[in-house]
Amino acid sequence: MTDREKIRNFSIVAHIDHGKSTLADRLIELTGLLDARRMTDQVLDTMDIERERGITIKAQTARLPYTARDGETYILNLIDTPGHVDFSYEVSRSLAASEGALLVVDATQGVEAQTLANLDASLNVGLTVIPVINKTDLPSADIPSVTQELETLGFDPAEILHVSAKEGTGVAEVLEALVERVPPPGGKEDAPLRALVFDSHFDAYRGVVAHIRVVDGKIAVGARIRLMASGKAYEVVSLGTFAPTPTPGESLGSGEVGWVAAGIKNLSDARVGDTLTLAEGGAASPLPGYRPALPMVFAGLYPSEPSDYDLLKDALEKLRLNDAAITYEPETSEALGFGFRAGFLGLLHLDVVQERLEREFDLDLVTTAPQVVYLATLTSGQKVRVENPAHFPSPGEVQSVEEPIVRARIFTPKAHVGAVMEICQARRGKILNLEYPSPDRALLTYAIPLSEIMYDFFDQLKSRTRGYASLDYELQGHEVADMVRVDILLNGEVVDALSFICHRTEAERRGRDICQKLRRLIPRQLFELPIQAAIGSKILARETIPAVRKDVLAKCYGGDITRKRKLLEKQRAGKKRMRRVGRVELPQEAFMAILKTDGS
Amino acid sequence: MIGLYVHWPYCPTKCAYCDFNAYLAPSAEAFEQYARALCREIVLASREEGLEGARVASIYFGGGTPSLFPTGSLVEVLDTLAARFKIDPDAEITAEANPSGLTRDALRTMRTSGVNRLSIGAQTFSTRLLATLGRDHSPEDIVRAVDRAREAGFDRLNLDVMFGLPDETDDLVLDTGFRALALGTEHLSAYALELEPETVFGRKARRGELVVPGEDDVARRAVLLQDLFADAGFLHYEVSNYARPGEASRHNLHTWRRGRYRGFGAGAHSFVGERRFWNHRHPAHYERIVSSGRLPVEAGEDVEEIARGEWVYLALRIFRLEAGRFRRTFGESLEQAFPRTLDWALGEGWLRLDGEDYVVAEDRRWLLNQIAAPFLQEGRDPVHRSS
Repeated sequence: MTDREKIRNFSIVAHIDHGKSTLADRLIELTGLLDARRMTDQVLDTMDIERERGITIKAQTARLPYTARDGETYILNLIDTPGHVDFSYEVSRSLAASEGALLVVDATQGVEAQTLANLDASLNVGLTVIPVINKTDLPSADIPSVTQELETLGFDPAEILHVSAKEGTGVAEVLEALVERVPPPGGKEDAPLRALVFDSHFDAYRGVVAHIRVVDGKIAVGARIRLMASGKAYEVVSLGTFAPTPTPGESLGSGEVGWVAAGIKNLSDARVGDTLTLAEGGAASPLPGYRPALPMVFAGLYPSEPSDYDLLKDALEKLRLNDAAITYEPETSEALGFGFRAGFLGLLHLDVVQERLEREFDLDLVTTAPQVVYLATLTSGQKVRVENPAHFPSPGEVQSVEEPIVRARIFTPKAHVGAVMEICQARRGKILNLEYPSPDRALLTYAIPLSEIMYDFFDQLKSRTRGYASLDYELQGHEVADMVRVDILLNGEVVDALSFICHRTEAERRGRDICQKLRRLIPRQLFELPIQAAIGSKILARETIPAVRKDVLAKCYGGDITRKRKLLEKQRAGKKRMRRVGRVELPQEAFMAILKTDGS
Repeated sequence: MIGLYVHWPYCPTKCAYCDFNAYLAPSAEAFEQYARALCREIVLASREEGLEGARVASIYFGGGTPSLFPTGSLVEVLDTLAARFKIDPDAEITAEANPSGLTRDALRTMRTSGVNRLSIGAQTFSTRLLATLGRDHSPEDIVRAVDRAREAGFDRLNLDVMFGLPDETDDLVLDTGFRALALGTEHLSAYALELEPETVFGRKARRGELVVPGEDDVARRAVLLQDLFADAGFLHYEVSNYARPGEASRHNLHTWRRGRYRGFGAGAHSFVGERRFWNHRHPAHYERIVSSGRLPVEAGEDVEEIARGEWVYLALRIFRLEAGRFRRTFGESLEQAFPRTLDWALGEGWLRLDGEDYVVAEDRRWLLNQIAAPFLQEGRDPVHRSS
């Protein structure tokens, strides 16, 4: 156990791509934990997908021994936080495990939407925030402007550190500032154990490994412990610190950060934010702030090959071991067969899960259009959660529908404010605030339906502001809205997988879009094929695919029967990937194209 | 009984749509060298495959442009074939011909050396479309070629025409149909243009520089020609072929009835026993192998397993599944071989019964691919045969 006075627990927060992971790497390197040769870039982002996308999804942690200029050796616990809006709850919980935060701002980009969100989150849990301007080595670095922006956020220019994590300059000053400015951990050494679970992962040998920050008391191998939210009790099999790989120890005391393995089988039994205490003589009340992370977005996941259903099921089970935020249950679609309805924290989370399923488990998936959760009040007064268009109540039995609204903050150069307002208004956004943190940059705050920012909102923002806008949002609540379910009919039959919920004013346009897309994608059938979009029995749009008129080979060259026959058989093999809806053969690509263009 | 095919791989020009195994004509010397290789291959193949003395009812000279064949070489090849095979006295001997450069002399030599049927590549009577296709002849050349062929004593003539061409109209297609009919040939072939990827047309289409008529237009024009030729007394006996009664191409029918044939020359295809195989495509490569005393076969596939499906796939092209012929070939009935697909095809109106034969419904003749595939599939699946 380490002297509490010599512990500094801190996180690094930043807008995406502002260099958080690179700075973490340099800190690890400088404290001598790993030498430069052994460092893969960005040690802490372990998953391929995280590394490829430059984002951190699962928080990871490292214990850095550091001998400061005062000659004393300190333990700096770096608590790496996930870096995306979908995982904002995880961010806030891992921040709660620290006393300080490095707020990294790119010297060429300045303050962005997630910079603000992260600053707010850090201040909310009472952290000491150290502002760091990164990438000062770049020719386009504009330190005076960024300094000014940080000043408007309440920082003194004298406390701002200048760093080039890439080159390693200024990193030593960061370590010193952590020691000098971040307070040592509080908490009561003599009180009953209370430790915050700020992350967890699944280990094939140890089961669930909970990442904890001990607040009060101490925890040792062999102790009987209880998780206060789940109520389940376990015995500590092993525990230790992150150095940065798990290193076993005997005990963890107040203020320390480490891991605990206690034969916990299920990740959902050690949820982020839960409080760990002793089974007997434990704390009376948990640490504040726990709430289970609720899925915000739902989509159907189907294997392209129906025979892969069991593979998908296995894969989801394995994935859930490492990602407690995924929820799923079996679902059957007439068009897509057997699959799962899965819930995600947000669109990026969905993307990441889908990619992991396809990459790590070699599955080929069809994902139906993502949809938010609606709260419907039925005429009977009963309230229901609608996670699936198929369960959307019929017009006759619904009294009102509420949709989730987010509070979105958008940072943009002043010149593009008009464009941003246009985009937000077109998506039913209501402006809450407009301010100018620095002379040429604006911060717009909007209340906007979550469903409206799911489809290409960020892409639009980026393209209309030449890539300068940044976005962050958080769920604000639900509001009554005139939502309807639109069905797509082929040859008079509803294709369940293509149904979607949208605002009444949007129904016709989106219905027509899909009909037109399908007309281009569905091969001609032997009969004329009507494609319709409808709300209930009211038809909104209609397209028609004429019957196939000619499908025969003109000539077989010089007796070459083989080539043409193979061509024919190849076409036929392609039909195995057709989905049959009534009498209509729908190519897999048609589903993919509709779901893709509409769903991302 | 087998059919013989001889490939002539050279053309005076290369047409923009053609992906056949054809090359620009080099020197007269190269022609003779190629003809020598042909003769050598005929001798080698007939000996090694035990085909010597096999009865032959049809020979087909295809290309390329076989009318470019130096007349001496043509005689030499025919003589070699006659020495190795037992050619019926009334065998059908067809040569493809290009309207340009068809001299009276060449025609006369061809006729006297035994060629008794000529297939002339007219393609279209529109000067503009001929240019688009990259043809080296005029509509007048077609008329002249037919006249000269008649003069030379050819009493069996075919004209090839094409439709589905870029910037074509219904009227242009009908005009070509009328003018082809007016020439009084015994046989007409009407081919819809197919865009092959490795051609000038294919590349242009990919770049969006070439627009061909859509499916509806092409289908309508197919029927326009079908009706026009039928009204003139021609029988639509195969997807792309029309003939006056008794004038159907025997070589053609032989192929669709899954008859065996041996092909000689660069890239030529053969079907012997239950094996389909093909020669190396490039003439120089082909000649090198033959001159070393080996057969120039590039590859092949055994088709015994798919024989039944293939039989139907081919027979569908002549719109009739002849029940007796199937039974004699495979020792079981069509119903035993294709219980599911036949049932489905009758139910869905694809086929109707004519005696014990199955006939393709008139209105489905242009949709054969849709029905051929299920037959190929069931023909592959051995389950029903063991039960």
